[in-house]
Amino acid sequence: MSLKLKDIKKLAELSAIKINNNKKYKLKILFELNQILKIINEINQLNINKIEPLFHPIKKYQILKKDKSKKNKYKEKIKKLYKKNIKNNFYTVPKIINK
Amino acid sequence: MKLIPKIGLEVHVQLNTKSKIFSTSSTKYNSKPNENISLLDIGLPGTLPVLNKNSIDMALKFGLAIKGNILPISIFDRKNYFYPDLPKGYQISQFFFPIIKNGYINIYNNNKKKIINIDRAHLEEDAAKLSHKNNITEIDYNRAGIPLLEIVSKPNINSAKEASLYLKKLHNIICNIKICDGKLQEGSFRCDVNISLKEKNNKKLGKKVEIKNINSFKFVENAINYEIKRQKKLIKKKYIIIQETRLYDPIKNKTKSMRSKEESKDYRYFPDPDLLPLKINKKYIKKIKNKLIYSSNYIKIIFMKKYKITESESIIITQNKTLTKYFLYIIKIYNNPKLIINWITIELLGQLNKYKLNINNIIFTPKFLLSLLLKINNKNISKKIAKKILEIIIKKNNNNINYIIKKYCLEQLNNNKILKNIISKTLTKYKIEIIQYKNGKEKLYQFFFGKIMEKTKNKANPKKINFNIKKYLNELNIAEIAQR
Amino acid sequence: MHTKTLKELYEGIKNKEFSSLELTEHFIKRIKKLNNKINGFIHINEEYAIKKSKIFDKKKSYNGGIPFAHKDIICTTESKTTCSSKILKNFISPYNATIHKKLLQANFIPIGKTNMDEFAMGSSNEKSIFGPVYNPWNNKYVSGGSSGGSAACVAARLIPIATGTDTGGSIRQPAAFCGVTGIKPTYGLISRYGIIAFASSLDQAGPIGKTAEDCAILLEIIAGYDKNDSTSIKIKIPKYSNYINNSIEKTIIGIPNEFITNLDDNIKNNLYQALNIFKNLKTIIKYITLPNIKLSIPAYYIIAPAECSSNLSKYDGIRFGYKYENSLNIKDLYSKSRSEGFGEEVIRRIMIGTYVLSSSYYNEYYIKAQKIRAIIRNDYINAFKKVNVILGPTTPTNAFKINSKKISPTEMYKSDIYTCSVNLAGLPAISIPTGLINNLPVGLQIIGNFFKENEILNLAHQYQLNTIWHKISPPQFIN
Repeated sequence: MSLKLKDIKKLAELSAIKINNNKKYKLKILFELNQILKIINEINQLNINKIEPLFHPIKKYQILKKDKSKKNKYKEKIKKLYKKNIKNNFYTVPKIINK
Repeated sequence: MKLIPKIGLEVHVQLNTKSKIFSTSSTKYNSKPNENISLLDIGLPGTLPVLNKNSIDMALKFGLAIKGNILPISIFDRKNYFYPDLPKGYQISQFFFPIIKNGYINIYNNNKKKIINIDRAHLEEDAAKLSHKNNITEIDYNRAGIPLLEIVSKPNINSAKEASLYLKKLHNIICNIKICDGKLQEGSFRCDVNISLKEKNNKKLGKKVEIKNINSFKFVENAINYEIKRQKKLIKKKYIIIQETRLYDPIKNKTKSMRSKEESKDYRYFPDPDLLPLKINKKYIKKIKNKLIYSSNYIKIIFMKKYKITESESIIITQNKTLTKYFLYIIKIYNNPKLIINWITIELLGQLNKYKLNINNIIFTPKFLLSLLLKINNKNISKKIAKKILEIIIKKNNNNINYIIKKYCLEQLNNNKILKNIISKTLTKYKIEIIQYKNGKEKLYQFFFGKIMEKTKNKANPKKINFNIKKYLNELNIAEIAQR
Repeated sequence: MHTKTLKELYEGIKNKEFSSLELTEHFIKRIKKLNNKINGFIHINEEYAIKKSKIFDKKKSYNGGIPFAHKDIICTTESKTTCSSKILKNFISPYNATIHKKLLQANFIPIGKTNMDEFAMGSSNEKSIFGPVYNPWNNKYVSGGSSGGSAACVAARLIPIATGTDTGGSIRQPAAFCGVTGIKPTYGLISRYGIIAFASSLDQAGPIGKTAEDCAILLEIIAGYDKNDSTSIKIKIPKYSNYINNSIEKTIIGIPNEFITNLDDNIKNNLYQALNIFKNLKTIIKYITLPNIKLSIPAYYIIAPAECSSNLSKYDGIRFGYKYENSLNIKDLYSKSRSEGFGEEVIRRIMIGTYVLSSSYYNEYYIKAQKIRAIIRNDYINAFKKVNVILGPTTPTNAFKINSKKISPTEMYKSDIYTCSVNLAGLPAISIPTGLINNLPVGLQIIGNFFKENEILNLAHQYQLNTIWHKISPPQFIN
């Protein structure tokens, strides 16, 4: 399994990262990603069907917390992080094309 | 070629927990934007989700109410996509192992019952609210992180009417079990419709069209009807139905296509590594089941249905545990719900009110009330006397019925001789009525009975009154009466 | 003062040999003089540190008062937290990480933040907007990464103790390259709240110090359950600093065959020398097998990028962080802020992560990798039925040259072979200095069973009581 040039565009879109349209640059990225794929493709050496995947290294279950609302002590600090992006208490972004 | 609409409904229900599903921010509606935000709600680096127990309790209540399967282990997954209403760039949801699977809701269409199957119900977090202005879009994160229960039906709804009935029933259920405030206009209950048309005898399914975000039952009906028409037209003309997402415009009463996305979305679901698997054991489910069964609203409705009493009657009986005990104790032996309620709500509570007493502090017990009612039923004492006895017991906090009867001269007049005497003395005044009675006017019997009750000041044993009046009337000879 | 261990400094404060203010000023002066030689520190909060040390001295409790540094991935309110990335270049966290709060409560004095590979992705600390970290033993060589700054600063005696994070070896490998001691605790022992996430099921913070004893002291303070972190474990924290004094006689040490096959001769000899010390301490050496260890690299390079591709989605320029100005639309804002804010390695890993999670490849890559993870964990569990601890080299080589064209990024990935399986399984492991090869340090890794930090610290400490490698300083930094 290796990537083709057209895959780069798709992956970039899914990752919300802009890839320079420069072909040389795209080929560089393609090469680098395929090198990584070479390494990860080594998992195909082993045929494993009956094993359960392990998503967490610890075998415990989720602890639940009480339904209490706490006072918001970081509100002002949070907004200070990005004052220029906040107008009338709303965070703002440029208009979204596809509603 | 008959075309059958196959409709599936996805409803997003906002759970009315106090705090958000993964953070401790308040869920209270706040008109000022970006007030109920915490570090996690904004997606700041290094923050982590912790699961709110009440959101699980509510999901379980729903699972029990629709008789679904509760998965003993369910997992939270990340749904990855980029959009300004998603502060972390992913939504925590449940894709692979939702907390509830299967279940059903009954709907009644013109009195005909239909079972609508539910495929699954899962928990997820709500997104922020966007408002689109001229050149910018404004984001309010107050809503981001509020718990949602997404309820997905199987596509066995076949008409707009059925869809509306299903939604209304579903709405009823979630309000009754108190997991949602049900306010459609505030966005607490949002509906997406999936609709395709299938040829009657053809196994092949039609192309599915999704209509997103409708918050009114009426609009859902209209949107479905429009869409069925639209699809039918296209199929007739042998055009292809495009699998797409559409929006319903209530003003024009049309569905319209959202401009198609460049590529289909790949959400790259995977189990959220910041959350551990959720274990629900039988003990937990039992606790929730008990809470549900004893939830007052739920009981109120059960009582209304089972005993055929009105809502206000049910409210009084079910909201006070003592009164509920009274009711249940008595109804086991004396099956007359309306009467029992009457005695509890009017007589008993009336007397308590009069003397400003609390039902938990008096000597009176359900056993007494039952015996009073049985005595009345067996015509051992009259209703009036029974009421008097009740009053005295409560007023004097004395449960010695015999003592009371004696003290207040409420003894029953049981002596046949005395009764016979009273009867003959009283009824001689009513010769005409007796003749009329003897000639067939049977209604007059009550009149005689009433007069004797009056004369004996309600103390006479009604059974014995009956016995003696009947005897007297039988023994009378019309000729004799006419003569005297 | 900078030649003393943390333990000795603790005693020094207690015995009133010096004050916290004196200590703090001493280290700040030293950092200002020597930091440019290693580029270990990237922010120093001088005013705040001095203020804190004065407050401590005034309290007269004499318990603590020691300066320390955090890897710049740990959120602190008194200084920036950048993850050595342009996208967080000016980010000041509104809140403190749990481990930071714990250290402040224990009266440690925060001096500043140390350099790292961007978003903890790297094994050489070359991928940082602040420039590479130079190995204090030879500034033409890398310090290792991603906690290169912390390891180099401790080695150069610019700070007595520091924190790092370890996802695939990022504490242990730089500790080995710089000749210091670093421990990655069992997954779940240390709260991740406030530690900027790279790969959530693999990340753990841990101490880097000159000695195992110093690491034990810090570990006692930062370990423990945190209700803000759903993956942290409720467990009683032992007094590591007492436990390390136990005898290690009869401890069964396992050496996996797979760790010594194809091992560089110099490193192999160094390993056997270390083993001799352990033999003399009356431990029992056994050879064991970890049959699937080779698969840990591909599994790690599927799981870590997958989780990071999702964890890094929050960096979009809308609520904090670097924002591309003059974007035409929302898509532009996202993609340009991110492509300009992230370095190349980060972009590569995000794209690979996105790839392995995409619906067509999810089962083939991600699920398969998690199955391998289960197998590797199982191999370790089986091994621990026969032995108490597992020993091996920390890295296949010691430090390599900075900007080496011989080593491609993917070559560097392969050097995680001894360390990343430990993260996959969630086990604790420590790296201790065991010698010099070509005047560059080499390290030994001791892997323990779940929550047996006490045992591996014990072995490390007993080794250090009988050797001098942890005592030597890089020549340029002795004074």
